[in-house]
Amino acid sequence: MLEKGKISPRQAGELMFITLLATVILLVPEITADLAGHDAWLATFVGSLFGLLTVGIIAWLGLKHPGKTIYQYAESVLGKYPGKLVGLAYVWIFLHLAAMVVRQFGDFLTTSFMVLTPLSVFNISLTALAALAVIMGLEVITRMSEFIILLVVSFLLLVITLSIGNWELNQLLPFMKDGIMPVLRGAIVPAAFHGEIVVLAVLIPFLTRPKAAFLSGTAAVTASALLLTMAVVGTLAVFGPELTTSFRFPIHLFVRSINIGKVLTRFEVVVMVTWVAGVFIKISVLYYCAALGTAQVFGLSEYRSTVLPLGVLITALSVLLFEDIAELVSFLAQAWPRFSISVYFFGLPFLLLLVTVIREKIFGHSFGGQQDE
Amino acid sequence: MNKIPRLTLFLLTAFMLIFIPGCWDHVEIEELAIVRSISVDYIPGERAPYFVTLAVIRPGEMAGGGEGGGGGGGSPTRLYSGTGASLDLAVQEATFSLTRQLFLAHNEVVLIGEEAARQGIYHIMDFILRNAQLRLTNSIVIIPGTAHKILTQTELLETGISEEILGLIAQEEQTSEAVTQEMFVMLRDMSTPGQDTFTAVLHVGPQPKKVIPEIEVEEREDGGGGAGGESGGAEASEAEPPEILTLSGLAVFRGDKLAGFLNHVETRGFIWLNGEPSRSIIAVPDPMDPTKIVNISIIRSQTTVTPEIKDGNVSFRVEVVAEGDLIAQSSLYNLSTPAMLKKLGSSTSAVIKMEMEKTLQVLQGMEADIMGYGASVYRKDPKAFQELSPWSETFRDVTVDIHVTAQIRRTGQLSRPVQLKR
Repeated sequence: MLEKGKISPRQAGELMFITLLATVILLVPEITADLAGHDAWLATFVGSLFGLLTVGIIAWLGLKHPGKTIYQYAESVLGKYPGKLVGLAYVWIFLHLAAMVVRQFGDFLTTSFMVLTPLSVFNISLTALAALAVIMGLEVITRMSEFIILLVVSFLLLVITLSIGNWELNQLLPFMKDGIMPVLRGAIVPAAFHGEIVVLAVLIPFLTRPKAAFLSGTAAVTASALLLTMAVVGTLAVFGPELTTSFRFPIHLFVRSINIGKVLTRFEVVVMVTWVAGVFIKISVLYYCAALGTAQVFGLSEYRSTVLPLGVLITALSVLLFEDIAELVSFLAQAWPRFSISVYFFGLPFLLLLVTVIREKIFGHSFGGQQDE
Repeated sequence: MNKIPRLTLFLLTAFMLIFIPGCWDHVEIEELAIVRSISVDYIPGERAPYFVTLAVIRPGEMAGGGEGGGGGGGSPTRLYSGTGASLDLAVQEATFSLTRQLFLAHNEVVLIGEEAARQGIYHIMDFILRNAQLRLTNSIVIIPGTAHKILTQTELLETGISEEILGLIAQEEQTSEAVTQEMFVMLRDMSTPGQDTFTAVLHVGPQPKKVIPEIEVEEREDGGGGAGGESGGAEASEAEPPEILTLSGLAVFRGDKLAGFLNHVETRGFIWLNGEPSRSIIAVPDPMDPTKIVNISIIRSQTTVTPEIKDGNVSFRVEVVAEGDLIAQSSLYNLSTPAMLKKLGSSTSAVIKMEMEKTLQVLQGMEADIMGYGASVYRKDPKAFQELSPWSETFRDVTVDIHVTAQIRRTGQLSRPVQLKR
């Protein structure tokens, strides 16, 4: 094994929860409100629960191939080279995701806080920090997430509570004005973001009790869906769907709109700090998965040697992938959900599951209990 | 940790000390021009029509520092103006004469002149929204005439002009008949189908009553509430009374353009129509002696609007439940009996209903649905709303059925008027 650390299912759940929530909350309200209008909250909730499907497949696969990450069992299920290809595909998606997350956060900071600072300053420093965390290993990232989850959840709940004075729940009406279709269209983006739970496929072998993987994944998706839906309800109630769509980062302006007695105000800095922390965990997790995957696909004895080159790739991609912020958002709203769900979050796991079942049932091959070094 | 040589570690730490404590990019408060309020005017016909004034506070003056020199009239606020084809250009021109870095994050109020409001306020809001420093909780206030002259006022209770305006806004529920809205709320109204927006009006002018000479017999006026003709200060007395700021009335928008003003009585009608929180005093005739009046202070009220949609036609039922106290009476009759209070309640209802109807008429004339009656139709039945569009025209002729129930609960510290001996 390349990773010697072990994490408990509860820690895994917390890690997944932050990984899901960190970025979804920044851009998703804008995109879903555009597609689903007054019903964006419903679209968000329904879409988020799509993650449960991914969790189910991944957890089943993890139990069927104990002690193996998705990179390893892809090879034993599909054969050496096709398996390596699938493994590489996952390395790429984690890399791509990490780059996009870095970019989103860099764009957020340059738009809302430090207008004059170049994007690459944020991208490089965030990636460098994440590289350090990845080198330290999975246990270190997990323990940090245990501490950061307190900040993220408590501050999010705090700002949602404080904003209630600004709410006008009428803005959520009329309910399903144009039927169910806009809701489903709006659901696809949160679905794609919650499909990121696929990182669990890399982490399952490192759980102290791999059987609990389904439970921790489910808990993470559900908790993230609930918190995100609360945030979207709040944003819609404060701004209405039209303004939510017009804003670049609605949740940030949502926090900025809190002004209670001129004392309880200007929370955005606190919230920004917790978001930086959350995004840092998310990037660390994705980066870690990419590094471990590279090592396992190419049969290296150490994953740490891949950290530096991957970090350079992430930083470069984060700057080069998109010309401007409009391109980033339209990619996330249109191309990304279809492509990522159909291939990575549902397609490939489902294929692995299918092949496993066929080989077991029809060809009598046994995967269970097969331990790899 | 043994692997890293001590010297390297020391140098690394020393190097990080340059960046990490934040001294690298420090900005001291004395280097900032902190703007607390902005006024925006529009001069038609000019090539650079936007005229913007920034009210910059001088922290040294506010703390009473002798730095500024001239103590007497040393205003804690400095004004910087600029003109431009857009707000950003005008602000940029204003900063040409600034010796400090412009800092807008603590701006709290935007004063918009009448002409700028008629041109449309979205352009101004766009400027506020896109700027990373400006906050969308800025209050918007409309000024009849030019907004710039407000910032030049010197007759103030507070230390600076911005604090004066903010104080007026903060106390409006207690002291004014005006409703100031924060920018994002106005924008939310403007983007909701079937709803128009509004905000408070800030006047500058001589105090409404001229100073009464000492010799003249003092003439008492009980509760000028119903009168409304308070702008009659135009009759210039010899000693010109100082001009002061007054927050009263509403600016009504259709879309993002100013459609007209409501005076303070009409604003009270709107407060009933919309169920805004406000304390106001109204005058009703004395049930025992119609030449005298009784003042009722409305403590709380609740408004319910129900749209009724019947085959393509829409009407509204507005119900107001108000609760008030008897706070003054000019006759000596005992009005504190249950029967009298009931009577007072029904005459209060009648006054409230009359004010509401008057306001509604004015608003229908402006075709501005600032209560969001259209929005309530849209929420109840979006298809019917579609057929009623354009809503502003439907609103002009819509029937609104107003029902008011007012109850007088208490009579202040008196159980009945003191019976004076003849």
